[in-house]
Amino acid sequence: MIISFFLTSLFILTQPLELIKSSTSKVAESSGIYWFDNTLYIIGDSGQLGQLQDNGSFSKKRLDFEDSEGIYVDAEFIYVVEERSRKVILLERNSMKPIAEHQLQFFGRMNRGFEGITFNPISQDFLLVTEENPCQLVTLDSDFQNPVYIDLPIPEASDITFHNNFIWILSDVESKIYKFSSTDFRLLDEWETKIINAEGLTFTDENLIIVSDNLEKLYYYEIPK
Amino acid sequence: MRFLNKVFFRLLTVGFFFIISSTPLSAQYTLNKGYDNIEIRGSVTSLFKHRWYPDSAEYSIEKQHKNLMRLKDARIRLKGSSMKSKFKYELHLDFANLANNSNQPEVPLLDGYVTYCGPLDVTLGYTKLPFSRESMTPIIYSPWLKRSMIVDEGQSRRDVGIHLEKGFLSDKINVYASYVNGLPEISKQQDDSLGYELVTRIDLAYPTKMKYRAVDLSRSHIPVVSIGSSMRRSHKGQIYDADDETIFNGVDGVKQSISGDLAIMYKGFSVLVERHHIRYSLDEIALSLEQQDQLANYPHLDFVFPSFPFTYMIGDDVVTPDFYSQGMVYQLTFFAKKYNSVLSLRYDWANINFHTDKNYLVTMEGPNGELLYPTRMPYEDGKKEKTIALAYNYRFNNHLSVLKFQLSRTIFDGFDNFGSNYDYSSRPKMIEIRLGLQYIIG
Repeated sequence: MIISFFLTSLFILTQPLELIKSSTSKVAESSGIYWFDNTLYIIGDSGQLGQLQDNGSFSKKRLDFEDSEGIYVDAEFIYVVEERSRKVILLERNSMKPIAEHQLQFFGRMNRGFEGITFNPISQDFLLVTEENPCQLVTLDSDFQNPVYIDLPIPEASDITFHNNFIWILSDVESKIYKFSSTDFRLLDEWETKIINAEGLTFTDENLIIVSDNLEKLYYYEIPK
Repeated sequence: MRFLNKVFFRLLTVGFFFIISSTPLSAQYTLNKGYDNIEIRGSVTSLFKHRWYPDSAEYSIEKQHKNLMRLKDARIRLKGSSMKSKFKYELHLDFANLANNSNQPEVPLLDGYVTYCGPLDVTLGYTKLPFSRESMTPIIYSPWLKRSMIVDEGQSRRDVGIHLEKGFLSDKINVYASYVNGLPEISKQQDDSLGYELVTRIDLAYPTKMKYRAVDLSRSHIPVVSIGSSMRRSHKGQIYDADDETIFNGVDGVKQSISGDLAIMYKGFSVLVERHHIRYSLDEIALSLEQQDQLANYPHLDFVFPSFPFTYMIGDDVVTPDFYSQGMVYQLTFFAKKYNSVLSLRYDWANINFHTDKNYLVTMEGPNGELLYPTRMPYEDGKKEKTIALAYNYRFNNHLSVLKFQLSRTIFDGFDNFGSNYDYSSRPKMIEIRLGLQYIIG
């Protein structure tokens, strides 16, 4: 792992991202975002769930979460990951009612648990990422079973998403976005962000979006090549 | 006492290993049961300390017993939450305090509290008091092995009582209030002195909240600024020394303090400036005429009234002037991420327990005008120290396992008016190195 980290530092040059615009997230302590069906879903630490339509309309609902850090959305469900209690909560997408919860295991520090969740449509696996100590990628099958823990060659992560057949991981402390292979989880590239407390990232058809927790702002970037 | 401490220590040790060994995986640190979560964490810090006095080889030899290796921290912390974090709690113990047999062992408890997190966070129990950014920054998040003198010796830093906390605007504004005993004992069943201590603090940060950290580990891309102010007040009926005899948890009268702090973090640099001012206003004592007649022969009444060290008489009047402690801290820290290193420079000064009553010296004059106690209680001189220090940290990982080195140069002056009456102006300047390893478990 140390050798991998060293080689990565040598051969990957950090590139800047091109900022297009920024706006307020309107969700307290925004910690996770996911864009689906022309809607940007924004989850806050204490359970606020905002929906920002591409046409600009916005709605917000308060849900009963403890420490919601990551979000993924598909046609049926909203998946929210709880950091402290190591859970994935499934909400029915239209009604937003909780319908299932999956208890996962991670033995790291309480506030250094799961930071993000996404889905790999190729392998049909859910992917979660832990914050640090250790920073791990966790793969789970579509029933949230058979977890596999993979140490990542990065020190810290704050969100994960899947886009264009790659895994993208955001790091708040390192102020970087990392691009990983979705097959063998090799680190392929990285970009520098200049955002305080970057806690969530997602892709639309045109943009890469990052949300800042403390500043409660959305930053829209050109999609890196 | 030592036997009880040993028994307590062993029970805690056995209990800890029972918890560890009864869990499914011996390596785990966080346990979950529904929405009940508990985290096991700890730290071990041992250090080497060496002092010398470049202007006095004799003094260096005299003080060589101060040079030693020391177990600074052997801490275990259980921290958890339940009911979706409606309740949070912490039990934080330091076995290094128990293992201290050379003097009276210190209290092993660092934190023991339960918090109800509602519209207002309400904490009951023993924990850190909300004053001073440096005090509220855990030492494991500081590049130093020892805090500045005014924070370390100025006032008590922990107490038992009720603690309120409320954050506004995503914690950019935080308001704190603690209503505590103001006593050195944690579990005292009676307080003869009556009266509590109120501690309040407000801090404002912009453009985002600032945690209580001394190092800008995330190398903020924009400057983050925080200003804070704290006030403390108590009115007691007795003097209560803290564990160090120069600190007063409470005095027979009113103890008030105000402090302010400014912190800035930007691109790995962090700046901290703090100012502390403490005033002790002793209650006037009522003496009968007979008592006054008897005591008129004593020019220094502190031998008669040890709780009133500043009491003196002018004619028939008993005078109890206020006394003070003051101090400042300036600290500049830089995180060199590429080298896993932290460099910090600190300058601090403190003047502990001085008074400003010029009449006091007049009272000390003898019949021929000479000073009866010329080295005692001079105007505006308490125990004074000025220290300039440099710290270097090498961070082995992101988990706060750190090699810490600090080099300091201290100039002494003034008088320890409440302990040994030591004349610090006679002490040569001191150079001290501390080298320690801080290892975080968990």
